Formats: sequence, structure tokens, C-alpha cells
Amino acid sequence: MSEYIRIFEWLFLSYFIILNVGYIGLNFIALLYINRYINVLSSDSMPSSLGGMEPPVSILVPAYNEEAGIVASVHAMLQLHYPEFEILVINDGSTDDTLKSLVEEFELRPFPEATRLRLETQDIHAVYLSNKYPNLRVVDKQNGGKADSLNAGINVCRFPLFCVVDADSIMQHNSLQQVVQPFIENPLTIAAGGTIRISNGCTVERGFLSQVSLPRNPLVLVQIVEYLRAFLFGRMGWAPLNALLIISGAFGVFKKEAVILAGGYRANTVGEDMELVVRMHRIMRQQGKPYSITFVPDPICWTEAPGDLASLRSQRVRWQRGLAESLTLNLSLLFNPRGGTVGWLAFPYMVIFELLGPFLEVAGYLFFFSGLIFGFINTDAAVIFFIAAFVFGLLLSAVALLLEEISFHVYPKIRHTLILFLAVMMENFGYRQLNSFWRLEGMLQWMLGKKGSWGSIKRVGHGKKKLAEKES
Amino acid sequence: MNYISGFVNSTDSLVQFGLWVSIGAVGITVSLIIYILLFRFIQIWRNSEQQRFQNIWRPILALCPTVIPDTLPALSNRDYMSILTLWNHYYNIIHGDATGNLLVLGERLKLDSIARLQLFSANKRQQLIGILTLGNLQSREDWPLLNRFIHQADTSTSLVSMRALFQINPRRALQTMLPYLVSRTDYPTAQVASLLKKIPSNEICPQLVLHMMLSLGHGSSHLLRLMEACDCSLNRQVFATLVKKLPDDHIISTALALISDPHTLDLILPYAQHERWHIRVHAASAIGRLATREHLPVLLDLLEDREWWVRYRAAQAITKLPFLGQDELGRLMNTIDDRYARDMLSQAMAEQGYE
Repeated sequence: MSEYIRIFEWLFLSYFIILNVGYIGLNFIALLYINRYINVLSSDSMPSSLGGMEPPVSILVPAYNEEAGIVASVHAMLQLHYPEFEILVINDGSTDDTLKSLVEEFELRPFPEATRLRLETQDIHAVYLSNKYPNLRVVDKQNGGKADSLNAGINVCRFPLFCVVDADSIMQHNSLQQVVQPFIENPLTIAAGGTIRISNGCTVERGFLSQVSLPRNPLVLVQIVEYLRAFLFGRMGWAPLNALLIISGAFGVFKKEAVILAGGYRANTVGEDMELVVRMHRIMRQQGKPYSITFVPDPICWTEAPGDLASLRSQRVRWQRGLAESLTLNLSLLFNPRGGTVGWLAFPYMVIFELLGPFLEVAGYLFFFSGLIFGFINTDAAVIFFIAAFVFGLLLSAVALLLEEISFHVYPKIRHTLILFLAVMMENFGYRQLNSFWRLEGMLQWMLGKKGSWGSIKRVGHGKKKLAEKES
Repeated sequence: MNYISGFVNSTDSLVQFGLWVSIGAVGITVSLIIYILLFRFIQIWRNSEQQRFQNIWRPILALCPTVIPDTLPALSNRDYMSILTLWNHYYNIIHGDATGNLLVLGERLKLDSIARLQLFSANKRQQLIGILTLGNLQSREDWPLLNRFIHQADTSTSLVSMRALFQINPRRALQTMLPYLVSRTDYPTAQVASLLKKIPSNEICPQLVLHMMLSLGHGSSHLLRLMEACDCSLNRQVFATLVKKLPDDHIISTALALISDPHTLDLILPYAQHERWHIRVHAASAIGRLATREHLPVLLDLLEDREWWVRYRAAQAITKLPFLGQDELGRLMNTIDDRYARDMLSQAMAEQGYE
């Protein structure tokens, strides 16, 4: 019996160490890439050598019951600095006055659109064109969910690139210009994501961030550290290997034809953003076509993070379900002879450490806690396990802060750096463990076939503005 | 204390392994934290230096279009990159005659010497700023030096050098660039086109056409895309030779987009029946540009094509025909039985602002 216990002890400790060594490897790649990016690619004094040759982009904004904020969001998007773009709001059968507020504010009129139905969607009732802003259209359709809305948007949009944005995402004036760069520099690019930053604690004026600061809410502070880790090295580590498996639904740009080739967004998943990207990898690799799915490390989109445990739990459960769906629906990529870095590195990594990880992590915690209580493991092993978990957690977060410091240092004050250090410490006392349990909950829900939903997230907005709750 | 001592001296291999790994991780973490704090303090110092620099030089450069001070503040070595960056920034935003004073200021500050120093830096950004500055200064004497950088494998260095040469002497630069248009497939089309547009299209287009005809085959597709970006057009003879010698679908469709010679219409019409839809799309647009009333039936056939894009371009072409007004378009609509064709024409008419 003691031999088995020993094996488990080594198993759990080794899992943590291998996981973190893998993260450190991604750190290293991210560090090299961001160093090159900062020194050259994002030089402010380099001329915009495009001279108006940027490709036109359709911005797709799925909206469900967004009457409180949609007008302000569209006004902000209309102010983006980009030569040619259109905004396509897809009203997904809202039961509030989302459409009415858009019609009134932007003087919308019905337009006889001969829609090209390349992706199946719920019925489109009408397409509206704005009299005031010729590059603004609204699609009014039967409710079908976010994925269905995006597919409808793809059918209606006019340009070869489309940008997916959440209705409450806060962009920067030059967000489109930055995220489109990979498509200009490499014609094989079919998708590009941008860094999503947390807007809680920041000041927003007329739809744009005017001042960056940190929130007081400790739960959001630890999420900021987590986002830095996930975006700065998680995605920047995979992108140079062309093995990036997720582009956030809050902000990403795609080549329309490549998405249509992949079949568009899948309507019956909660993680439609990740599932699409994984499927694009699979289809392109199956067909042997050269391509690139990449990532722009500049902070170009801001979003509000959940500030209470219930909303956060709902989000994390949903993310884990989305991950499970995305991976299992594209399982043929795993160790596929044509899989390349995706099939042989990123996908197995995701399966072992992200998909199955919650089981091992929670089992590890339970094993060691119960071992201590019931005395079947030795105290030293338990202590070293928790020390190792804590220390590596600190190390990874510290590396994320370093990357942030040497790259964009978005938070201007030294006080911010110190607060983030504290958040790094706090993260390891309860937050990580909670996350593991929520992720396990997500896995169990997925395994039991529980119907997915977006749930509700309480948003407090910025300043005194309250945003509508999101419902599925 | 006894427990800690016992722990550290444990003979359990698992504990020892975990302990030393953790100690290593703690060491790295502490080093990182110290490094981050040091970096932040250095950044604060750099920002204050930068602010000091900006407070002195920004007003000078902002007022430069109208007045240059008789005496200028001294520049130290550590200000070199800052002055180049700031000067280039203002060069980008100031237009027309106002740049004259900026160039005078650049001369007085000996920015060309400062820029040359950056060319030999190992830091790529410094190199690029140096090249950029010499181009903006239109430093003719640095032509040979800049010419060397074009041959570098790195795309941005090569392109920025090319841009600098175009700023010094666009026509001479074009002769240097032409061979690279075919060989440097790493050059993004958009960026090359933005350089070529510095030369009027009536000068650049004949040279591109000639270059394409001389190097038929290799790189023709790329050249055609550049010609499209530069608003070039092909005459009948060139089009006929191109499609005969290079019957590649991409070449044909791009060439169709460049046709503006009405005498080419008879060569274009057969492509309205081509099996590849993207060729039919470009044929619809080309016919629309050149059509007379007798060619309207061809466009109406394309309006009923099975492919959405062909229908759309045909509809757009029809609504833009100079000999068809709104009333006649309305009457035409009534004669069309195909629902998809009617819908498409309706959309195209709405886009033109017709009721």
C-alpha cells in the first residue's frame, strides 16, 4: 500500500513540475518574441508604410439585450482610426429595445440586402443601413446564440477580413491597425488575436480608455495577474510556433474565406471561439495548406472581469466546458501525422494539462490533505508538495509581471507594480485552488452532458455607468 | 526549528528533490522581483530624462515650420535616439513646404551624422531609425550606403532602405527596385505599392508593364497585383500577349481587372463564359467599364450566374452603365424573371442611392 502511495506522491509532484517547466518553456519563447516585437515591430517612429493600403475590415458585433450599452459601443467603434471598415451589429432576437435604440440613434432604414447564405443560420428578418453612417449596418435576426449571430454576420459582411468584438469590449483608436498587421506582413495569416486587458478600475470616456489604473477588488486584481500570464506568455509562447489554439471572442480578426472553409462557428458549443480556431488548424493541416494563426501582443482591447465569486465561477466553468468541447470535437488533431506543432505539442499539452489537469490538481490537493488527516502520507511529502505548488505559481506570475514590465508597462505607477506583486502572492492562497475546483466542475458538467449556457455576469461598468446583464 | 532542520536533512528522495527544485524556484522568483523593481526604477529615471528632453525639444520642433531658434540646445550622446525619433515623428506629421524648415533644422543638428552612427548599431531599431532619417533628410551622399541595406535578407531593413532611396530620388530608386519586385516575394504588396505611388502612374505603369513583359512567367502575378495597386491599365496588345503566354487563371483575373482599353472588349467577352467563377467576376467588372448598349445582354446573363459574386459585380456594373438611368433600370428590373438576379440588382440600385 505504501508503494502505491509513494507512486501517487511522485505522480502529483512530477505533474506540477512538468506543467510548470512547460510554462517556463512558453515564457522563454514569449520573452524572445516580445523582445523582438518591442524593438522593431511596434516602433512608434516607424512610418505607417501602408499609406491607406490596409485591407478593409468588417467589425461584427453580436448583441443580445444590450440596450443599455450598444449605442455607446457603436459610437466608440465609429471613431476607430482605420481607412476602411464597416460595423455590423447583429441583433440576435433581443427582447429589449436593442434594435429600437439603434434605429433611433443611427437613423437606420431597411436595406434590400441580397444576402449570400454561405453558413446556415436562424432566419434574418431584415438588414438595416444607417442614413448617418454609411459604414454601419444592423442585421435583425431570430435568436440563435452568439455563434449563430456571428455566422449571420459572416454571411452579410462585405469585406475579406472580419473582426469579432463583444458589445462591451473597449477598443483603442488604433486597435484595428495593430491587429491587421499580421495579415499585411504575411498573406498566409488567417486569424490574429490581440491581448485582452482588464478594464476594471480604469476610466472610460466616450467609449475609450482615458486612464489606466488597478481596481481595489482583490478578486479582480488576481485576475489581472492571471490574464497577464495567459495572454502574455500563454499565447505569445504558442503563436511563434503557429500553435495558438485560442483567439478570444472578445477581440479577434479572421479571414472570412478561411472561416467559411472551416464551416463557420459551431452553434451548439459554449466555447465557439476556441472551437473555431482549433477546427481551422485541423482543416488547414488536413488539407496541407500553409497558413498562420498568430497573436498581436499589444494591449488593444479591454474588457470587464467578473468581480464576484458567483460570476467568476460561472465564467470559469463555462471556459472549461468550452475547452473540453473544442478539444474533443477536433480530437483527430491529436498526434496526427500532419498535425505539426499543433498536433504534437499544443494539443497534447492542452489535453494533459488543461483538460485533464483539473482532475489531477484537485485529486492532488485531496490526496495530500486527506493523507495528512488520516496519516497515510508522510508530512514532509505533503509539505513539499504544497511548497512546490506555491513557489512555482509565484514564479510563473512573476515572469508574467516581468514580461509586462519590459514590454508595455501599461500600469504606470510603481505602486501598481507593488500591488500586482501582492496579487501574485494572494493568487496562490485560495484563488488557484478555487479555479481548479471550478474547472473540475466544468469538466463534470461537460461529461454529464449538461446543456451549456452563458449564465449571467454582474457587471458594474466603469465609473458610475451600469451595463446590462448578459443572458443566454 | 527542529522540524525545519529535520525537513531539510530528510533522506526521503521525494522531499529532497522537491526541496531543491523549490529553492531554485524561490531564488529565481526573488531575482525576478528585484529585477522588476530595478527595471521599474530605471524606467522611471528614463521617463524623467525623456520628459526633460521632450520639454526642451518638442516646442522647438513644433514651432519649426515657422521659426528656428538662432541657438539650439546641445545634444549629448544619450539624446541621439530621442532626437531622431522626435524629428522623424514631426517629419511624418508635417506636410508640404513646412518640411523645409525641418530639413534645415536637421542639417543644423547634423542629424545625418547621428543617423549614420545608428546604421552600424547591432540594435535593429536603431538601424532602422538611422535609415529612416537619412531617407527623410533626402541625403543623396548616403545613396551607396543605403543601397547596401537593400540587399539584406531582413524584410523590414530592406524595405525601409528602399523607401529611403525613393525619398532621395524616386526614379533612380525605381530602377534599383525593379529587379527586386520579382525576386523579393517577402515584400508585402501593400508596402511596395505605397512606394511605387510616389511616382505618377503615367511614369510607373509603362515601366512595370515593360518589366513584366520582359520577365514573363516568373513573378508576373505579383507584378500584376502591384500594377493594380498603382492604378495601371493594360492595353489590348499587352493583355493579348499575357493571356496567350500565361494562361493562368490568377493572371487572367488580375489582368482583367486592369483593362480600360475599349478595344479589348472583344477579347474580354469570352471570359464571361469561363468555367472559373472568379474570372467571370472580373470579366463582369471589365465589361461593365467598357460596355456599350449592345453588350447589356452579356451583363444580364452574368446577373443570373449561379455564383453570388458574379451576380453582384454584374449588378454593380449594370447600375453604373452611363447610358442607363434610374427609370430604365426600373424597367429592366421588371423584365427579369430570376429572383436572385432581381434581388441583386435591387441591392446594387440601393447602393447607388436609387429608390
